[in-house]
Amino acid sequence: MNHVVCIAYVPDTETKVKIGGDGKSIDETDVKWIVSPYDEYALEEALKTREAKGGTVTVLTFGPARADVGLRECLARGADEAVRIASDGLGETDSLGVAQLLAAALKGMKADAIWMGSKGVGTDAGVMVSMVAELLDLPNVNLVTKVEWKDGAVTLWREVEGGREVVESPLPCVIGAHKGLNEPRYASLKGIMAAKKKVIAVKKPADLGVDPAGITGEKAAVRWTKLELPPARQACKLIPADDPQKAAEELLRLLRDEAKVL
Amino acid sequence: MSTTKTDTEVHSFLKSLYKGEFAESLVFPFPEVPEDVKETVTVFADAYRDFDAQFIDSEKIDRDHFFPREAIQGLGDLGALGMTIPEEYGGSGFSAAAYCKMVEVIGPLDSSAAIVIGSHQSIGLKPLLLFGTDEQKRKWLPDLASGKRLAAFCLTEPEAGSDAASLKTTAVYDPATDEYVLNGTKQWISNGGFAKFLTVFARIPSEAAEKDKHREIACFAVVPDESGELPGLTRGPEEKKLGLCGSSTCQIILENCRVPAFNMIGGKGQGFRVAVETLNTGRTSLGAGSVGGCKQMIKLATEHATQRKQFKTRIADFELIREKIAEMTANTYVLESMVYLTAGLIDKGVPDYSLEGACCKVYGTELLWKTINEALQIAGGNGFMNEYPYGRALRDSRVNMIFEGTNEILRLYLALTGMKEAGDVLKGVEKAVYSPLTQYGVLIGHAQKWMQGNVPAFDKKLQKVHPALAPEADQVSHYASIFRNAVETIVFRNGKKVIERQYLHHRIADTLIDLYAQVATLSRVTAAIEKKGEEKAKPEIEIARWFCFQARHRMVASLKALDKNRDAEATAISNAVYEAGGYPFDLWGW
Ligand SMILES: Cc1cc2nc3c(=O)[nH]c(=O)nc-3n(C[C@H](O)[C@H](O)[C@H](O)COP(=O)(O)OP(=O)(O)OC[C@H]3O[C@@H](n4cnc5c(N)ncnc54)[C@H](O)[C@@H]3O)c2cc1C
Repeated sequence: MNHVVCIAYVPDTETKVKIGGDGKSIDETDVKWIVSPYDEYALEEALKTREAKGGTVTVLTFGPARADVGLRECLARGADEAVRIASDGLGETDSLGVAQLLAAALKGMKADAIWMGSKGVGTDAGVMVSMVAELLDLPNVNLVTKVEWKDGAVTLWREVEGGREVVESPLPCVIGAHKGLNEPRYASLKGIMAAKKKVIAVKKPADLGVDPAGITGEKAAVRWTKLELPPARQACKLIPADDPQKAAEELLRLLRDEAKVL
Repeated sequence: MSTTKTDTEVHSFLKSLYKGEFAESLVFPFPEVPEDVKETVTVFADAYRDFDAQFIDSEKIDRDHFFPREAIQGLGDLGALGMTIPEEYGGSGFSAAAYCKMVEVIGPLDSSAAIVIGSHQSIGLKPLLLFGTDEQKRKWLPDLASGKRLAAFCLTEPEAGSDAASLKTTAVYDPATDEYVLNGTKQWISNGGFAKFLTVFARIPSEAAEKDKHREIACFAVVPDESGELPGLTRGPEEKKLGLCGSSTCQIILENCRVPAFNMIGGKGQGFRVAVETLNTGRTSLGAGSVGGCKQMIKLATEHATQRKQFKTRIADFELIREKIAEMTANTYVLESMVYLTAGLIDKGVPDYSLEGACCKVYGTELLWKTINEALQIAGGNGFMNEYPYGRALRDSRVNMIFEGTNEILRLYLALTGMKEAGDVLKGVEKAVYSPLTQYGVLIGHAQKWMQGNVPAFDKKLQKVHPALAPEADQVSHYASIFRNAVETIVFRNGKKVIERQYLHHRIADTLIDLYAQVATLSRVTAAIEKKGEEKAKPEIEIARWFCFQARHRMVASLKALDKNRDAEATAISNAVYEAGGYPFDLWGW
């Protein structure tokens, strides 16, 4: 069985996000980048399946050259091959644009299972699984927390509101991995050293038959127009409680006149 | 004479300094670590941090005095036990810089893990790595790299600590079986409780070597079976220690323990050299561990100082606190510069970095101790509470100043090695002193130069420091010259007795450390200026200025005290104490 795992290389969840000069992008100077944690579940499950049943695991991403570091990390954990669709100099695109690029690359890859995280921690849009599946005309199952393989099919447990749903899907299909699916492994030093020697295949959108002009700029259906940081939290206001009567009156006054919630 | 001199000049920066030369090409430009190495280490460091968070509970390890065995296996699977072993033998062939960076990460996360890892590859398996034959390496290194076997370095004995060459363990050859029979007790062996590859230093009694006891010592790989058993090998009970509580420290008792002759590493009579070289190469990494510990303390101190308010003010804004933060930070920068400059020398293939490594160890371990102490002080009463990390950090870091050569022994080594270098230069002169008639010319020439204050012509200046730091570069050049002359004067005045003048050694060693520290810092800041421009490198320029200013005061004090001191009083006071068997001056006469 051959697996392709789509990964996103995103700002570390602990990064203090700063907004760039143009007011609609992130200032990337001090950002630490990581493989999106949900994608790690996807990769781990693909690796485990390969170890049990044979086959290959390929990781695929769309991103600039720095994303190679993320791909190498996946290679270090045990992926066999890595492909990057180069975003360098491409201009801003949206989820659908990315999905088109991934789908175009996946078409040539003969995957039995296509894996992704249920969402990327970058934008948290959570639409990639269904978009890619739709573009490839494949079934998709998202929020998966358990997997059982059958001949030519797979049984998947998915988290739904207040319970779990068990579904069966033919292969190939697109699977969105969710927290709880497994405990991702660490890259061993051996793996890291071996990964260094592997070549990452870099493809331009045009190599995949996608016209960049069709998915960027005005053609992107969703565009970032403005980014704002949440307002800084204000200091707590403490009301002296020596006299409960007065304190209650003061609280009431503040809620009505200052916070204007009453 | 000139050929050997040139060799030494190229072979060691500090030795050449003692000879009156700046081997500037060794320390400029500041070594750059290739991007792909940085990438590998960054990824591995992340993996290590994740592993630590999941499997290593430092508080529990400290409380239980036990490092979980699964965690050791985990370290092996992760690759942390084969970092320094070449790839062809199953390891990862890390450069010195890469290994130091990892030690920097590992140390502050959990010091017991750092000891497991460090005793294994900084010292335990090092003799094999440095002196083993290809056949020996093939046989043992792959298991050592994977963590299937953990290594221990067994040199110290109850009667032989700093004076390791006086060790008593014997190895007697049995021609019938082509084996050596080992007898003796090794003391305080790290990883001793579970090591399955022990490098044991023992004496092969021989009449030929009677005169030179060093020449009897050999190093043996003692290799128990997979369950850790070997006839004649017993492991003592675990020691109860002040710190590093999770690391295993115990006696290794050898009673007619038979070891194949094949297991001798480095050959007959080479054991002492094997031990010394092993320790020399391992020391830089203790400096690296100290860098990591200092950075952790600076973070804690900064967090506390900027959050805690007293007198309606952040304590961070009080100058007495600023002073501590600035000092911790600048000194850590300096140590980091020394460690990675030394690592760069190693990676460049410079064959002799023993003095530089000793500087890193002494300066680093003492800086870490001071830095933890200051961070604790900034934390106030909280610093004294066990729920905060300071207490454990203090306990764990204390031994750094004791093992792998006590800091006293290393200071002697720093000073005496230099005196030997100075002595070599003086040899020509010395001869002249003893046969003044025939060698008159040499003597007069030397004396004349001496009077001119540049004996023998140390008028070299550091050339490659950025002009923004010209005063600092001049200062280093100036004091290097005075220092070098002072050392020569001392050798000249004391002759062979110089070996006993430890009061002087202390000052010489401290000055040498300060000189190396300044050179390393100037080299690094120069590189920083060249890379990002003077404006952006300003904070680093400030550190260099701050440090060189401090160093100057220390150097002046030490150098002056070489000449004018109260050493005779120190001897008298200690004599009085030894006679009384303790403090003899109780105010009430008790
Ligand atoms: C936790 C721990 C782990 C260790 N792990 C190992 C290990 O894995 N393998 C191993 O072989 N050893 C190990 N050791 C032993 C360690 O290397 C020795 O303790 C160290 O070399 C000092 O020897 P000593 O304790 O006998 O002290 P001594 O040599 O007796 O020294 C006592 C004091 O005298 C000073 N002194 C000694 N000689 C001189 C001199 N000539 N001039 C001036 N001052 C002097 C010393 O600096 C020290 O302050 C370990 C020790 C500890 C505490």
